Amino acid sequence: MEKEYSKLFKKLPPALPPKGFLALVLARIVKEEQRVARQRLWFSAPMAFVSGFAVVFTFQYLAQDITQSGIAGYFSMLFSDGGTVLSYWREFSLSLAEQVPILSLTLFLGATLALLGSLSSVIKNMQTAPRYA
Amino acid sequence: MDPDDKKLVTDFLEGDSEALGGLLERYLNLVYRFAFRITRDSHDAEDVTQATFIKVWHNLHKFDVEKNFRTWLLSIAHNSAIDLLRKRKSFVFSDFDTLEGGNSITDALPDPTPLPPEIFSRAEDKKFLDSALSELSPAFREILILHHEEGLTFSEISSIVSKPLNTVKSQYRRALLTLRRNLEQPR
Repeated sequence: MEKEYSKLFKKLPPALPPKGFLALVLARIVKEEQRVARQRLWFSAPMAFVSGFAVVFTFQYLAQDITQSGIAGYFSMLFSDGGTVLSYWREFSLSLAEQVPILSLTLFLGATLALLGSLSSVIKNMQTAPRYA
Repeated sequence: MDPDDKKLVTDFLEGDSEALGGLLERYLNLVYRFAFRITRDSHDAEDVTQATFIKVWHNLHKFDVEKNFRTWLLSIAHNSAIDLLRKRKSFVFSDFDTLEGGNSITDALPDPTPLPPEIFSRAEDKKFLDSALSELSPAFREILILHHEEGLTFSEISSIVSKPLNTVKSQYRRALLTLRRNLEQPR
């Protein structure tokens, strides 16, 4: 019975897409790609601008924290008296870790990552978006 | 998954935009034919096909390459067709359909038997069969087309239409009974 019906369905009139339909579908996909790229550009361009400012401010904050924490002294010790540092490397690392300005460093790295991400998105979407405009 | 499909999908995901064209070339006719059989209108079939491939482009990165691409593609085409039919409000069920997916009339009927030779030879007329099919609901037509024209298993159909396997089998039985009844009616 199954085969009988399958044989019957093979007799159905063919349903073929019109000529040039493949190109039309591809063009629709390209248009959609451009629309999405434009949308992403609207988001990533202001994001790059804002994160650029954030990088400047967080860098200033980080520089100020580094100066106040006296972490620079540890680095000068590392170069001037390497032998002592090596002998007491455990104590040295602990003191150094305590002095690291974690908050400002995290903010600076976060802002830098956001800037790099949004710049990469701007560049990538700029290549696609104008073609669709 | 077909090795060619797997390669095309992987190539696309790795940034080869030409690979999407390859997938389109392979499956355009299948999606169009499927859409046309459900909507029964060439413009609607074009709209459904375009919507399907746009959704494919959007969601291909979520697709598991170990799964069957054809089944995944047809499930997207199914959803696109249903969306369009709902918009057109032509996705109607008969008054006898129940919320559980049953049908008070056809459920009481016996199992479909082979077509008698005279009906079979009448049904071999393209237009006759097409017209008998057109009287079926899109959901019934879809199951018959997927099983008999595209050669899909009930399990594949069940994942395309997102219905349990037993529901698909029962709908298939009811669809065959309705088709047979339509074929028996003189036109």
